Amino acid sequence: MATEPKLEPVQPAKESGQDDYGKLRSLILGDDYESVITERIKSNETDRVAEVLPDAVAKRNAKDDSLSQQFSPLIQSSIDHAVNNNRRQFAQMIYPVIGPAVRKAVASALTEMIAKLNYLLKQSLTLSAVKGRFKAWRLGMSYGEYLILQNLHYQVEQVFLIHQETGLLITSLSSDQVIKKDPDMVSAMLTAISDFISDSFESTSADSKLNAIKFGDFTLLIERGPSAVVAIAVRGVVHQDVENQLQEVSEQVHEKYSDALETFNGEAKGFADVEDILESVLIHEEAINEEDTSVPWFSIIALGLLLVWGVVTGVNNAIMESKVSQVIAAIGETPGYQVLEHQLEDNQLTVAVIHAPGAKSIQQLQQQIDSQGFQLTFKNVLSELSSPTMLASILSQQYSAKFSVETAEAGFVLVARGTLTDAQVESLKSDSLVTSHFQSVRYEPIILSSSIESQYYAQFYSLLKTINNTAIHFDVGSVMVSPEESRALTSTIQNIKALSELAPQLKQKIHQIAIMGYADPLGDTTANLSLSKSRAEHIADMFKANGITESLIITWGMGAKDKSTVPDNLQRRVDIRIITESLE
Amino acid sequence: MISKKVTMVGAFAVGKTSLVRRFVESIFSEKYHTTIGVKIDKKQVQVDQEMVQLMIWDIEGVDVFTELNTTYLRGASGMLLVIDGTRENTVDAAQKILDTVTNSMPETPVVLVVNKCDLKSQWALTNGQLSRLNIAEENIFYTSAKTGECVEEAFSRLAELTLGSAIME
Ligand SMILES: Nc1nc2c(ncn2[C@@H]2O[C@H](COP(=O)(O)OP(=O)(O)OP(=O)(O)O)[C@@H](O)[C@H]2O)c(=O)[nH]1
Ligand SMILES: [Mg+2]
Repeated sequence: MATEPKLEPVQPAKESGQDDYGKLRSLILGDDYESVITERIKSNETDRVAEVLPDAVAKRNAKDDSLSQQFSPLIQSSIDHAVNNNRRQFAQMIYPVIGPAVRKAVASALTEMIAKLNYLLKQSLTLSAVKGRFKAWRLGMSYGEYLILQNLHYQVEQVFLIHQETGLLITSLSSDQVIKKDPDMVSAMLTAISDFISDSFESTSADSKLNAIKFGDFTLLIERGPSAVVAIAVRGVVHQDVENQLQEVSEQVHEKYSDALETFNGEAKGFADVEDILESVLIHEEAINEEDTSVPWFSIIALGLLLVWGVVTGVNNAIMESKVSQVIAAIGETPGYQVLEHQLEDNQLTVAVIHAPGAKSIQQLQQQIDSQGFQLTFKNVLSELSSPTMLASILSQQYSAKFSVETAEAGFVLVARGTLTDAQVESLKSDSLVTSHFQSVRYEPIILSSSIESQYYAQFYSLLKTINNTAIHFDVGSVMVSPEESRALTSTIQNIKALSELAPQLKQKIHQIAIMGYADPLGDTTANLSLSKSRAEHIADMFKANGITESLIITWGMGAKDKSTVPDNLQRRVDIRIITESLE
Repeated sequence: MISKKVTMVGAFAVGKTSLVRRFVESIFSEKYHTTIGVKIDKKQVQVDQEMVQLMIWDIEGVDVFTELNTTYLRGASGMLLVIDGTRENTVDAAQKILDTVTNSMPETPVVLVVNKCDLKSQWALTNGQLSRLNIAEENIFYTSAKTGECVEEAFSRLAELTLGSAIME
């Protein structure tokens, strides 16, 4: 208080003094003055702060943690930034540490859930594969190998769209032949498993999350976006194309349905037409074959047209075609190599191959093959074909005989079954695939393993039982199948088709498929009779429309036949009964 | 149909898994197999005119070695908090869980279930002990996974509450 009055009179004098001084300065130094002086102060200031900063930080830290509080968001965001910009490097650094730990943790704590997940998926996928499996068995190889031999490196059988936050299923699609089994559960379990993993390592970085689970023949690939997860079940060898497509689908879903994902409350509203996007990842057998066959058709037609017009380039095209097939054949004939597909663009011929480790390297092959003037590149689909069984299946195709593998004391023995010419036996002896991986070759007559056969019988009878126990229920007075019941109908149709495919191979004959319609006792007898007949006929129409052999189907209208104790809603139904006979 | 994720939480051996089995499969077993990680089941419940599919996440019980793994709670629309009427300290465990949960997801509805009510002779709770959990009377159920008493009711109530709630982050 006492000093204040003293200061006051001094103030004006000082101000005016400074003012004059300032005017003088700017007169002498001109306009540059201001900028020079600030520059000066800045650099001085920076030096000074640099000098004291470490001490200041240390002092302040000793006092309280306000500095770290101030800094932590900054540090957080710069870490985020660094991680985001160098995802790959971070992943590579972390992976060796986390990879083994993930495997161990999952193995010990979640085996049970994984087993159940496996069971659910297997249940839903096996029926579709019955036919293929049967053929594979006949050829004496595993289904996975069979798929490769069919030039079917993969088949995406099911796709799940899962809400990230809740693990709830938004929707799922499956390729035509697959019967869905509890996609809800699959989706929740996938989420729980990856929750477990991310929790165990307290990491939320997308790269450390689970992205594939392998079970026997198939792989679950998981693409994790910010608010949704897209997972697919792939049978066979996972191809890069599938992974790319999966990523694409995930991006499209996020782009198109970001609002719906944000507000998702357990109901799949707002996801109209999402199936169209998901569908694009369901790449399956037909799609690949279509591509394969459409190429020659196109060129044949093109060739035809061009020839009609007498244009020389048409002939060129034909020459191109034959050159391509020469190159492909040459590669295919190289021991240990198999061509999966090829593509010609301008002069660039890309060939997707699988090759065994004992075979020539791709570089060697490239030098050796007459490329017919094409720019030849190889795409190696499966580089580590190290398993002897895999080799056996490749040999099976090359020699059109059946090969299998047995372990002996000093290595593997290749067992050949079926017919081989003398020349084939000779070339087999010197085949690098054989010599590099097998100790010896043994020849045996064809033997069918009866245990596997009985497994297929079991499958047949279990299908039969399921079908014969099917009842499709109807609303009062209705002949239409309600959405809830349509699932039972679809699976019945699929079961019948699987049964008819298995039957001839197991020497079973299907004599008839009886469809029996029933009505509840309400209303008069004639009306009930005709209603029950219409129900049966409607189901018969659905069967026929879906490719079930028409001549086997018989329909009966039973009217109201049940005991009065059966509830009405269970009386309004159609029963299916198939009569089969063994021809052996 | 609408689907909702709900969680079963509480101390170990209070009967979370048994309640789910009773509710989903209508069976009970005296055998105790502790849950590791999480086990998932589903069941459809009718609420008014609507069918709700509950995806039930049965989470491992907390004990001195196992803390509640909150990752499993993410995205849940409801929680069934279970205590064992014959073990007083399961109320403390419940209290601790509530504290954690109300912090991270304050609006998730909670149904409190006091289980094993068939064991009246070993009953260890007094009425006052539950009041500190601060759960509305209509959201408390005295159940038995063994006899099935009130199990349906508790899950139905939970289903009802999930419909009124938004999903929490
Ligand atoms: N008498 C009786 N016993 C019960 C009841 N519910 C569960 N139990 C028994 O309590 C034991 C534990 O039950 P669980 O359902 O496995 O308990 P939990 O909460 O899932 O246990 P954790 O998974 O270890 O957390 C079992 O032996 C059950 O038989 C009940 O209502 N009455
Ligand atoms: Mg349990």
